[in-house]
Amino acid sequence: MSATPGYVSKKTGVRWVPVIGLEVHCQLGTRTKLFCGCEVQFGSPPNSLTCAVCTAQPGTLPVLNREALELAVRAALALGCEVRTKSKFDRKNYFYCDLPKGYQISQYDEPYCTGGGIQLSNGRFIRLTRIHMEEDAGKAIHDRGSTTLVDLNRAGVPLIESVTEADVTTAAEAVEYLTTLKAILQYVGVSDCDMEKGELRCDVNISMRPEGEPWRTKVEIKNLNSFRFVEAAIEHEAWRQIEAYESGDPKLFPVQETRLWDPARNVTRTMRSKESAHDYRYFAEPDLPPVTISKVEIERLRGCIPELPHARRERYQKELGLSAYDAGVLTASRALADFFEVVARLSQKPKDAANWIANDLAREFADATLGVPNVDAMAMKPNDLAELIRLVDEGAVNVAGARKVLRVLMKDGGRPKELVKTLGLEQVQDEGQLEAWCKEALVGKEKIVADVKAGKTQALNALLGPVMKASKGTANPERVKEILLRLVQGA
Amino acid sequence: MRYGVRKDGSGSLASMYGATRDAGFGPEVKRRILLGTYVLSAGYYDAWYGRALKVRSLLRRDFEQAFEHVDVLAGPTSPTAAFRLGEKKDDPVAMYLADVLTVPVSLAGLPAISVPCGFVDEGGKRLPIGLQLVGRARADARVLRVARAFESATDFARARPPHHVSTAKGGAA
Repeated sequence: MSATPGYVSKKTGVRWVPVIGLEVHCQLGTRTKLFCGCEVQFGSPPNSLTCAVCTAQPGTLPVLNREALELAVRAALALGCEVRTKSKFDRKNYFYCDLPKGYQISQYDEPYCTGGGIQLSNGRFIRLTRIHMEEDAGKAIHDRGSTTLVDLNRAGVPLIESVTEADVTTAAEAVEYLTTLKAILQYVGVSDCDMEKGELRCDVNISMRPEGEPWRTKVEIKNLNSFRFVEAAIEHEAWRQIEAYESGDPKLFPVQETRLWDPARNVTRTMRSKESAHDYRYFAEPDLPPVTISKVEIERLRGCIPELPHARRERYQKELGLSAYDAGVLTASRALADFFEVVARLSQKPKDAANWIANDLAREFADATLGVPNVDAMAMKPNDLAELIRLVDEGAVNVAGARKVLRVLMKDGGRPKELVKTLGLEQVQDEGQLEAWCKEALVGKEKIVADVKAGKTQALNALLGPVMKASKGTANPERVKEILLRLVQGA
Repeated sequence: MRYGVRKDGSGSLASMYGATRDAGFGPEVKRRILLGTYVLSAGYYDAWYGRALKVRSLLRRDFEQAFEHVDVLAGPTSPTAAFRLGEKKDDPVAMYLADVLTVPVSLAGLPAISVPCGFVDEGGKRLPIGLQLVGRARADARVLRVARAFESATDFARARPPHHVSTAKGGAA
């Protein structure tokens, strides 16, 4: 267990502990919307993916998308929740231009699943209260002149909202919870969870209390579009609340309200107070029958749940002997882990495969100049990387050369062996040529020769650079060292 | 807004909603929206909506017990014959009472039909009255069969009150 979480006030010395709950909206990766046949597609022309149902024309009726229910159940099973064989939809009433019906179809008092949760690496377990299905609202666009524009392409898109108990105690725990949740949802094929497309959205509920004291007023923070924002918002809000309490002035104490994260200024600010909070006036949706799913069906779906990230991570460490770090990087996304497994199998060298993927590939993904941010954007196929590993192993190309090949493979694809040739990276195997370069490097280096003879073989490393330079990087460093040693000792 | 009235209000979305509702809805619709909003609002939810749901369950059970003994319930559709248009405009409760025999059936979710069953003389007029036939849940077909049998055995379905007949002749013929 790590140290007691909390924030120690410099002013009073009091340890303040955050009480945090997380609400996450995740878009289900269905082909069509939750209650009509409109396609779900990001970035389509405004209002091109709409029909009479999702624009709420009079006389239309919703019909539940069975695929959405199945994906929702898969998510629940992967998170260890208890799925109910019967649940119902309710109307959540509010009036806004992005909600054509005047209500959102959601689940209120009988969600389709309860319980479950996520295990954190520090041993703490974050419990889920529930997950429910609901439809997304449209999008109101306020920054195009004086009028507000409405795009209903997103109206009716299926979502699941998962709600945790107030079990999270630090910003780091919140981020780990979210990262793990995202990975699980991706693994089970429930959602791509692309935050830039709004497929995963998070709200934070947070209150601060001195260690050991009862819970105080909670504040909800919205507009957290990245995990980095979640972390920053919690840090900021924690100190804001501490300072408010320590001011001693009850007028300044935190009030129950919704605050917005302002990433430009790194602060939260009031969005709406409790007085102006919505009263959603929930009631059972009369246009939809109760949602039913049989125990047999639930068990069938349970059988379809693939190996989850933490299980894979453990297997990689135990069976393949990978480090915890490499196993963690590889299992962060299912696509990456799947890619790794194929490379490991084809190359028969799981540790080399792990090394290339967790270190080199990960580094190149982060390099914006290459423009290949993830596995899906990559032109390289698993057998290409397996071949590259083999070429390095055979000494046909050195590691530095292989890294150059890797970049080309990732961006444009191709045959590794041919790329090694066309890029002029073939290692010189000609002993005579290698020896000539080595002899050249030894000229005038009597001190090094003496050191090596005296037993300091590391002194040779100083000669490695000039030889590699002379060979334009095509010499095999290991082979060069051997030759240098032989020449020195023979001298 | 594709159908009906739209009033622009003073510029904001909320004022447009307000002005449109004010102009577009009649007094009875407004009354029902207000009532519905009130019983569903936080603080009154359990006292009104929650209790109403319980009452509905009791009603349903009551009907279920009745159907242990009978196949179909028969009775008047309305407690009175038709009143004049607008006559009870100022007394909504009296107006709601006109529905007192049909609303419980709807609340219980049961199939029902109203068929003509004769006339009463009231204020010098012959006014039609309806027979309501109610079946147990999902017994829609039985209700329809009983209604058909009643119509076959009587002439009420083809009978017209005198003034109605004359209007029809004067108009369509």
